[in-house]
Amino acid sequence: MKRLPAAVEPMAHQVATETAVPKEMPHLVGKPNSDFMVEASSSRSNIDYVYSNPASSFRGLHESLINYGKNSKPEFITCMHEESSVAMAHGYFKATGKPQLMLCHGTVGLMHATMAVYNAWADRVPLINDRRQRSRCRQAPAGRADLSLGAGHRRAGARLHQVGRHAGVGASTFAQSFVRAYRYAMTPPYGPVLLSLDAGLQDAPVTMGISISRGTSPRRRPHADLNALREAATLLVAAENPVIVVDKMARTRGGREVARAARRAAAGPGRPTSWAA
Amino acid sequence: MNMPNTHYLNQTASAQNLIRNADVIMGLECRDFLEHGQPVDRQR
Repeated sequence: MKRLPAAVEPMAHQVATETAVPKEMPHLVGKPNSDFMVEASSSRSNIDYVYSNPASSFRGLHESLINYGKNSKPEFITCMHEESSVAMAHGYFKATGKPQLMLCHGTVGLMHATMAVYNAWADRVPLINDRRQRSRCRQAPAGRADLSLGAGHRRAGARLHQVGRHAGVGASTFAQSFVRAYRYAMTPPYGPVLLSLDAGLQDAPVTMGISISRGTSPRRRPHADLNALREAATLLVAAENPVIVVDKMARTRGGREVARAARRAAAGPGRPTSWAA
Repeated sequence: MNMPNTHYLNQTASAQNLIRNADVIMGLECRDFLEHGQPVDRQR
């Protein structure tokens, strides 16, 4: 009886991939789309650093960050693991209030980052997670942008903790996709956003004149009903033993000021106010 | 919450007692309002 081998023999093309001398990549004529991506990212946001464990799948963007962007705002920070890169972006926001960018490979890298992305989601920390996806240029018409909020394949574990996924196909829509992702991330309650990069698009030359408008209009924060606020304030001032339970409200400096103001409003002579967190 | 647990206003440890005696409770962005009134079993 013929026994099946414990491990499958590698196929010829797999052996060639591992052993053959890689071919020299063709030199690009003109500017690559990744230069435009760097320009669009830096001009429309307040991102200081890009945290990443380098991967070949976003080599074009990496090169443009260094050569075109002169490695300043955003500056590339090399990390040894995707989880630590997300954690660094998380901590930077907690200290400065500025959302940061992290780059990772589409499958393995994103899986490595999953736990840290969950932490950022639980802590309501905005960050833009750029992952490389397989080139879709040949499948989608040029200029098409695809937005999906669903989950259902191998990257669902990470996506469930994210606000949205925006896959820009075509350089002309990348800036629009980036601004949309940035707004998602920075609209309270904050959260991490996944932005898919087309792998082939990065290395392709810019084929048309693309203009970038500077800046983004800030989103208005959600606001409670004014009548409900007045009623709550009346109850708070009239209470004898008020307690303020502060949970996610005080995650920012502004939130702490609001909480202190509420306490001052509730506290009166001989009437201390407590709060619990 | 980003608040030092040594701050005099941080009364998390006595939250259950405070809430029991409160006549008005204001919650600011609470994930689970009721969890603040639950006793914490520190032996677990």
